[in-house]
Amino acid sequence: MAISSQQTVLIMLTLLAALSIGFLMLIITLRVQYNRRHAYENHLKDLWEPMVIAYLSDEVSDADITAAVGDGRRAKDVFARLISEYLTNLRGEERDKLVVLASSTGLTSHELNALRKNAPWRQAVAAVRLALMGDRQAIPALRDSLYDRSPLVQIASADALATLEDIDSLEPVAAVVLTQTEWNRLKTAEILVAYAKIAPARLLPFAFDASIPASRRALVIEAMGEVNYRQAETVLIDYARREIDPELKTAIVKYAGLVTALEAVDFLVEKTKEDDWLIRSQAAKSLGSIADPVAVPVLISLTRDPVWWVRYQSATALANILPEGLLALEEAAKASPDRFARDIAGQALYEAGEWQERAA
Amino acid sequence: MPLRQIVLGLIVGYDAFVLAYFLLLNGTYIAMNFISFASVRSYVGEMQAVRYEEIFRSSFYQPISVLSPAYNEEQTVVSAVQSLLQLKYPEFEVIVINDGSTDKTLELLIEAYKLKKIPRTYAKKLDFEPIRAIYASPDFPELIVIDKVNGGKADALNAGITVSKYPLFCTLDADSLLERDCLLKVGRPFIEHPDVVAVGGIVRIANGCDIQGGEVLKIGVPRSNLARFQIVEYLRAFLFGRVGWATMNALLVISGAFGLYKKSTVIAAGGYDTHNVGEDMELVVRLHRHLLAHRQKYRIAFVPDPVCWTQAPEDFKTLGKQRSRWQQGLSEALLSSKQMLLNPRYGLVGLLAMPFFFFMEMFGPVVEFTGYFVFLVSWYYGLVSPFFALLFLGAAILLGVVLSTGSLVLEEMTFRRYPRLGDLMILFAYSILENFGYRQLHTWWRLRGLVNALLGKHSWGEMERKGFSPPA
Repeated sequence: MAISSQQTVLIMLTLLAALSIGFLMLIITLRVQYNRRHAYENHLKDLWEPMVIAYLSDEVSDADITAAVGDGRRAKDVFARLISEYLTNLRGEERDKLVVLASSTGLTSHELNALRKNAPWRQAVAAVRLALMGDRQAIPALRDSLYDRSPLVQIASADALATLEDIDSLEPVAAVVLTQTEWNRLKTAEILVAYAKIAPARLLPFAFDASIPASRRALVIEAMGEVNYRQAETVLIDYARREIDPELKTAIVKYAGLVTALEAVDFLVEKTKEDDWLIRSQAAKSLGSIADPVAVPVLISLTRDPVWWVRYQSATALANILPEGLLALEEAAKASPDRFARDIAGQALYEAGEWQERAA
Repeated sequence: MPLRQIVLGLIVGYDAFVLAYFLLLNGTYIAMNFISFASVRSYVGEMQAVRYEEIFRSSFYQPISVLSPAYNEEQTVVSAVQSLLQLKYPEFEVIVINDGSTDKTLELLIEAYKLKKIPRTYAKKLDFEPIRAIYASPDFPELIVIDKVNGGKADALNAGITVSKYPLFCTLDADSLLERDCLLKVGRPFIEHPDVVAVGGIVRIANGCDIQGGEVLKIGVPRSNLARFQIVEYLRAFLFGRVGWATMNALLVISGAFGLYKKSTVIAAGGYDTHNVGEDMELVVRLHRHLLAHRQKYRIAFVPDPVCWTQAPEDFKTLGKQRSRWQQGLSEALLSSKQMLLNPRYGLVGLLAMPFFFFMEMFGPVVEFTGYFVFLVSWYYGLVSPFFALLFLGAAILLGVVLSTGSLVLEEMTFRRYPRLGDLMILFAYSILENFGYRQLHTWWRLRGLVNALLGKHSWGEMERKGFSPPA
């Protein structure tokens, strides 16, 4: 049976209308569902927030709150979110109380269930919350999650174990986070800093482990610098004098600046002569952090470096060494035979003046 | 064979070509939608486990130079800078580049921020017109203003990159309005993955929003029909198009209104091309070319939630000019890297993204425009049955509706930036209406842009700015 043009138009219009109505209904349904969920969650939050505040001032017991929250999964989700917000912002005794509340209201087991079986993002959220709740019973499950298929879950679990200061997890965590270059650099660095705070000596061997990519070993070294672990200084400086990856050398130069060890000045002066400008500029910056007047002549010579960034870091470092560096900088701005050195000295002096005004 | 028959044969052949083109284009769009849908949903889930305050406190962030080129922007420049200075990021500088404005752009900045000339050195690795002076503000130490001889937006950006101090730079339009935490969001991929060289963020239409003190306080829909069409268009382009291509690491466009780049890589690739109207796309295409040619591992990403708000033109003349200019820029960018086209050396970019953009986005307006015409002729001569013609037209409209409303559904399932259901309904209506007239007009503007590119015409076409003010 042939279809006429009019019928075709009619069919098309009907299809268009049906499709439009379908999408419209979908959008409305999504919005209505969202609004309902939002209203329900706000209602619960309004109900429980005063109870939590009362609990913190011992006016309400955890049994009262457990009874109010009940066993419903959605209600527990809302409560877990509320408690996590408080745990993020509170410190001291109040925080400790909430940790107890989280455990007694069954939030830890609720989040442990979420960690075991869920969408990756929900598993990651569970790991974050378990870390906030500080319940060490979660450690075995978090260790298992280190081997989850999703990198999101792996890193969240590693982060949680570091937050829980589980020193025994250092090796499995490091085995996972340090061997994969694709991994989240920021989180890896933060995890390493967390472990460096509690056991820097156990972190040190990873800096020399040739099976780990240099970029990751550099993060280990920086983490030790961040926590001012000065005991690694000699061994790292010796290591940096060998033929090693420039990224590692830069990290050790940065470490020396972070731990501000006067003993490292000779080493840093040596590194200002490296061919790699990244190492030279980092050495200048580290010398500025240590602020030893001995470094002034070498920093002045670096204001004539062919690379602008090295000149800038050197001039800024000089402005940090008071008063010798600043005086040398003023002299360079007026009388250096090199135009670039004069200009960069002028800029550093201007910026130093501005900072001093701001500090005042 | 009589001439008439030859012509008719050609017309039938062209009809078949248009049909095949249509199927391929829409097939790709739909595939892209599925990819984007999965990608955006997974991103939104992932964000639930991210705590941005950690990035803010972390010592592993990378400082950012925000570059805002300004040419005759006296209407918006002071409020735009005010908004930029309120950004939430551990360490950043705002560099406004006054590109030889002939109005009071510079004077207003000097007055508003008590600017003073400062000594500032830089290593000149890119070409740009001479810098007259560099200013700083004693009250806002993170603000730098460069006054230079006029050379166009790309030239101004090259000057900004050169003077900038930090390893990452963010490019903006002078009337872009960034949400406070957007640098944290757009900067995250750089901190997480060292191989990221560029990241684009979503640009949304500010018309109809309540904006005060350089901040969007309430999101709404404007009264202007043209601006409403553009909201739907932007949602489709950013939520579907860019997310999809970025998932395959084949994103060819990062909007000039909002993008973050690794400075050393951009300098190594030669900076912005000052002879290209679409300097933003040209740079991204060239980054791909440069990095793939040097066999470097890299990633060009797109993050769908750091928002940059921009003003959309509300009159046909300005919008037409803008769209022609965009198409011209796209065409010039693609033509300048045509060696990548279907070249296996350039991987997915050469084999998939370039051919798609070249044949579908660049020449799309030609096929679409001639397609309408040839189809009418075919119908008139009875070469295609009315049934088939209507079926084709209907299918085109239906697919258009699916693609547009699909982006609204995705928006509703993820970011829900329009709080009022009424506003959503308006956008829904416009996502259907745009298929009847607006899309065809858009095709005409794009065709004009393509012709300009092929003829080598160069006109930047100034935009008329209205300034950010509360909605009427």
